[in-house]
Amino acid sequence: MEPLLSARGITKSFGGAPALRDGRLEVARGEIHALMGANGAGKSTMLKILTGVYDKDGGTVDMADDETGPPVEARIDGPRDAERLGIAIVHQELILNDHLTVADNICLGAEPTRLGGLVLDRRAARATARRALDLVGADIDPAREVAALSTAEKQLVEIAGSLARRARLLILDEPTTSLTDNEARRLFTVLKGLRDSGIAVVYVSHRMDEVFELCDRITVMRDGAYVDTLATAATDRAELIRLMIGRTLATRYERPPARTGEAGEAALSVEGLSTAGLLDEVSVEVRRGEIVGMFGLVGAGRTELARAVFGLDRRSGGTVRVDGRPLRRPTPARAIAAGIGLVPEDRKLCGLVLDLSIGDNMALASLREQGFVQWRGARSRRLWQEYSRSMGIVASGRNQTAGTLSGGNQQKVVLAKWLAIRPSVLILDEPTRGVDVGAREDIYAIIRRLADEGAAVLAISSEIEEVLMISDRVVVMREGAVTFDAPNHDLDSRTLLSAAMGATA
Amino acid sequence: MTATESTSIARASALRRLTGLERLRQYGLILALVLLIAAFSMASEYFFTASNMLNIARQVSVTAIVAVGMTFVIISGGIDLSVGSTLAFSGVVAAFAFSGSGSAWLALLAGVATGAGIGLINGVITAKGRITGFIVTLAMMGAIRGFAFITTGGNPVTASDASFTFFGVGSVMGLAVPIIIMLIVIALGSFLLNKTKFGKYVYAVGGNERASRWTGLKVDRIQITVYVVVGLLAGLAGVVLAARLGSGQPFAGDGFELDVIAAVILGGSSLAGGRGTIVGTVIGVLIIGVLNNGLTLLDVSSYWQMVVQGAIILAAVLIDRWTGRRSPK
Repeated sequence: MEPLLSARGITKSFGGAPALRDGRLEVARGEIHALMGANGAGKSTMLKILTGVYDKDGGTVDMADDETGPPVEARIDGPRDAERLGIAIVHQELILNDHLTVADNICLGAEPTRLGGLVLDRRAARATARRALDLVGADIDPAREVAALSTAEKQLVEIAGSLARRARLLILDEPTTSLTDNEARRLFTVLKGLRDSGIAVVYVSHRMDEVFELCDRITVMRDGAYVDTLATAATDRAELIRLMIGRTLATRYERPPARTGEAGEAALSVEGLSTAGLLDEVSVEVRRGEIVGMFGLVGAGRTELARAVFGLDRRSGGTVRVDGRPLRRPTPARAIAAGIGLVPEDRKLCGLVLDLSIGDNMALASLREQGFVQWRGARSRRLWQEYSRSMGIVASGRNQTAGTLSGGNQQKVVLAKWLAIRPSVLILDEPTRGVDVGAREDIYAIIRRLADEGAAVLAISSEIEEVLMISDRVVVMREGAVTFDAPNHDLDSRTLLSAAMGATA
Repeated sequence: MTATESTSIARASALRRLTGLERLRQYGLILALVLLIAAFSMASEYFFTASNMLNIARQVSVTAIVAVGMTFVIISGGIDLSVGSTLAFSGVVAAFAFSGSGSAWLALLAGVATGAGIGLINGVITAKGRITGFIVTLAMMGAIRGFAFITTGGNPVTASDASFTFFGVGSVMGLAVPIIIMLIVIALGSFLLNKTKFGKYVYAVGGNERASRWTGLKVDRIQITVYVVVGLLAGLAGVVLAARLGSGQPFAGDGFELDVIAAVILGGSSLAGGRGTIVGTVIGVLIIGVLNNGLTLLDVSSYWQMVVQGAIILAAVLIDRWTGRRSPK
């Protein structure tokens, strides 16, 4: 095998915290190479360095610069350098311009022109697009508008565009997430064809079946570092899972004994909930005083479940009951009135109004219960007094702008906002994402206290350790369905990861 | 985005958003106003007299009344380009109502209701139709102006009886009625924005519409209400103007919307939503009013006044950028 790309010792930190400690990846010409690892293993940081989105802190990237030579050191200072080197990525979320034609998209940035660059050469653009589309075996009219294409077709157009820009290393990030089985099959055929023509493919996927069917070699990452590269033929699922988990880290936190026995009646019961996009008859129950941890890989449908329960997405079937009462035609306002709170995954986008003060943010969800006039910010003052000390919020006062707080303190403000409605059900989506270790423990304590006071807590997390530590019961989702549901007795990370990946370890 | 990355972003943006700057900017505006007044006082001895100060207050009253409403709309993340047409049409309706009924109060009510009704249409189309306020009110700007001409045949509608013109030229205890109305509107607007939960919701919706929805706010209803508020005030201002002129004029307030928006922006409201104050808007209105009044006293041509006004607005927005508060998203 002739090496094409060789990256070694790649490091990258964000604000002092290392995201990548030792990134390593060797890809040969004409192979399909899987990159695997649990959430947070460093895969996406690695890919962003290879495609010039991030600058690496250390390490070297070598890339062969012609058809036959060995890899030589390459500078990647930005996406343009990556493109020049022939490294291209197709993201899960496609980035085509919907209003342009297929040909325009494929030729974007390198449009063929006539009259010395004065006029676009539409015919040449279509011919270029036609040739690129032939390479991926796609029978799509280059003159069509991209908006009219299916997801699978758009994906092929994006791959064709990369090839038109002379990509030699094609990175695909979870490409089959939104494809049907037949479309996925067709994509595999295309990828195998590209491999046989000498193009290298890096294939990022959580799906074991696909990796074993498609890939020649597999590189496993864990905790920001390279673990091993294996030939697919010489390994099996159990070994991959073991490599992805590694030795079980000693848990730093005391896990309270699981208390499933004493939990009360169901506060939240979801039955057969489906959505048009992803969820397929999901049933989950959370009882009073119980913390249910929900694990799954990115894209498993956990956030979608939270959104559908909270009335942000339309449901196509199923029922949601809060304290036994069905929640009909849900909107966030009705969900809140029924006693549900939702701490969102992205607090800057969905959780906080960054320009408003801490106190105003805390009061925002519960102001509806108050009178029209707010003398001297009475509500926000009371909430600040109630929660700033008990949660340990570090701020100059309730009038400080929420946008100036650190991630952990912002998250506490969001929590205070929801505690203020006295929720019977609190759903938390990645409650400690972007939060430092100290605030993390505070947040765990807040969640535990809330459950002790009788609320039902559904905590969605991508961190196995976190789920195992805070939960009384653990639910795992995969591809829009619940695949595991058990009390948190003698569970280990391997069981959860296997359930999340659909493998029997 | 990784966990560590978002913390580092949070830290970086914390550094950029020094809270003191917000206040500094408001003091800067007050300082600019004081300097302007001082400069004109030195240049013209007539400028800093009680009668001219009251004169300025009366001159800016119509703009100030509508600017208070526009502040709500702009903080909520919207904009209303139709206030000039609404002003004209409401004045026309009030003049018709007066000549029909002979009741000045009924005329006032008719004018205000017309404005509020137009605001309701703007708000419902914007919020329920999910069209940006810019487009909706641009269309309404033309349509309402058309109605003003259709209903009048293009001619002013006379309403010169003292009981009606009282709203424009009358005075109570030595204070001109438009000034009194302006002061009441400023006080009520300030109260509504700062002391009520509706005011908090306006900031929340403009600051982060998505988070507001996720917090269960009825975003549509809040958006509709702010357009009703500005429409209502444009109607009120239209009655005041018609009363001052002694007639409802279909061509009144041409370009008025830009004066109002300019004052609000000058006063520190962000067109991106989420930020602004009534106090800032009032200072913005005063700066423009003082400038126009002073330059007129100094015999500067009104053409040059337009140039100066444009330059001032650009300067204010540039200063806003430099203090670097809103990072690009």
